[in-house]
Amino acid sequence: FLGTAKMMSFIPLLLVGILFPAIQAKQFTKCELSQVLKPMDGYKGTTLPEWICTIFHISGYDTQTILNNNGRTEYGLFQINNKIWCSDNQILQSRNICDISCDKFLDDDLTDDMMCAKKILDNKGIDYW
Amino acid sequence: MKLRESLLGGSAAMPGASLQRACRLLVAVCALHLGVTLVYYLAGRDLSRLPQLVGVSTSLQGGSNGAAAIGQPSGELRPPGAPPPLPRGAPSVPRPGRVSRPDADSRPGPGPARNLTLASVSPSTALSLPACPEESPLLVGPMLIEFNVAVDLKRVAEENPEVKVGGRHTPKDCVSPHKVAIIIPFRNRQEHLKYWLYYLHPILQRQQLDYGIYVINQAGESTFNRAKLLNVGFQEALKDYDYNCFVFSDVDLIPMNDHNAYRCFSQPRHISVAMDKFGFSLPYVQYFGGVSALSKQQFLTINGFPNNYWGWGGEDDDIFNRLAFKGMSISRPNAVVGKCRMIRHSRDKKNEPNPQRFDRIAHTKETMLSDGLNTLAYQVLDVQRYPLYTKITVDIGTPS
Repeated sequence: FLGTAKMMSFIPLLLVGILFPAIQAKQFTKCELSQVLKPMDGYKGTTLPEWICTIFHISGYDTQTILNNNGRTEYGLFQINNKIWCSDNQILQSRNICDISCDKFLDDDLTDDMMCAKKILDNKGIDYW
Repeated sequence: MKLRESLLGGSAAMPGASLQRACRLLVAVCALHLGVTLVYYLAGRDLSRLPQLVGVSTSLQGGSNGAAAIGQPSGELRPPGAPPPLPRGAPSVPRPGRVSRPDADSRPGPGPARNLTLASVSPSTALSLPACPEESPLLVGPMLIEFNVAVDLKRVAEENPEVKVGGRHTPKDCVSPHKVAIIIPFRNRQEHLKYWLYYLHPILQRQQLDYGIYVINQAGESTFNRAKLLNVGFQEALKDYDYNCFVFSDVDLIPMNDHNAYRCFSQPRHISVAMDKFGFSLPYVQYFGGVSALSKQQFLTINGFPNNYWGWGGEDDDIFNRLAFKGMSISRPNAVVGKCRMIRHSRDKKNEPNPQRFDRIAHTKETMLSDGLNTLAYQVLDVQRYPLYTKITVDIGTPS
């Protein structure tokens, strides 16, 4: 079945068709976000409902949120800024504690966002938000 | 078994018999799947509205003016007596039909020319009218709200002949205790305003309200300030008529059920409680944005709204705080009646999320005394009385 030439040409196309939506930016729903953010529940005392509430107010669950605030730019669901935490073209001497390019926070893969949010909690605490 | 064997043409094992069995099995599985799907589908339907669904179909085929092409994306049929379908064909250029005032040259000051109650019933008739009932008998319930066909405001004015110039309406069969000024903060959203007027005028009339529509247009290009515009609307509307109730509505929010009353209650009223944007529920319990209604007294008690929230967000939370600090609570319709549609649009320029909002709403208790009606300063640049609304263009300044 898979051996025929006609089938072979479809497979890559099918794979691309499946993968392509998987790496778009995303508007999460509350339920989806609750699932994805489970690793953050209770980290440094901040509960999952507190995260959901905070994220709603700062980015409205939209991973593409990007805002200027007092000369720095904040990226993604967690609104992580380019002054201290990530690097971009605007601030060249960023401390870049999370060692990552800021635009990685605009996609729908939240593992890097969560990694950096945890670092923020370690270094500065919940008051960042 | 016998039947099957006869279908197979005898007891001989034909080539493909197993294939036929497999096919039958497949058909059976598919039928089962379809059956289960049908069960779930029916279980999810609101069967209590079945009579309404059946009743409407005949009237639609009957006297409609041929525009039966409107789809049913929300799954709700338009009941009879609802506003006629939107016109098809090329969208016409909006001509709001500017009304030139009789004493035209310079804009008259606050005086007789601004008193819109002149165009009303003669005294003798007014005295003999009964009070309007507590709940209007004209309400239809859930409505179909769509934003895919262009609106012609001239047609809307023709279809709502009882709406007087400036967007004023008084019920002609009864006297309403609800004298409502509907204040809409505005800048560069004419398309949304057209939909708002198209949907809301029939609803407000069915609710038997004594109402007026005020579009408060922020002049200039500096950052948008919704709450300050609402303050202006409150003050300016009162120059026309002794409104006792103020509905503050964003221009892009349309109610889906006319049982959602656009008037005031004994406590401040939140009207847009179940927006499609938030999955038809409250995004958080203290949410007070979108569409709300405060009586004149409730508004004065909190010193009106804050003037210092420039940009998007926070001002509705500040208002919530003000009400809470004055011992008031929020009154709401249930989530079924309170369903609203928001016209989808991209973020406005010059209305970016206000980064100061989180700090500001933490200090409402102190700032509400010195930031509000008592410190409101603005300049009215223009007042236009269109057939369906009054548009007041104001200069509200810039962030200090």
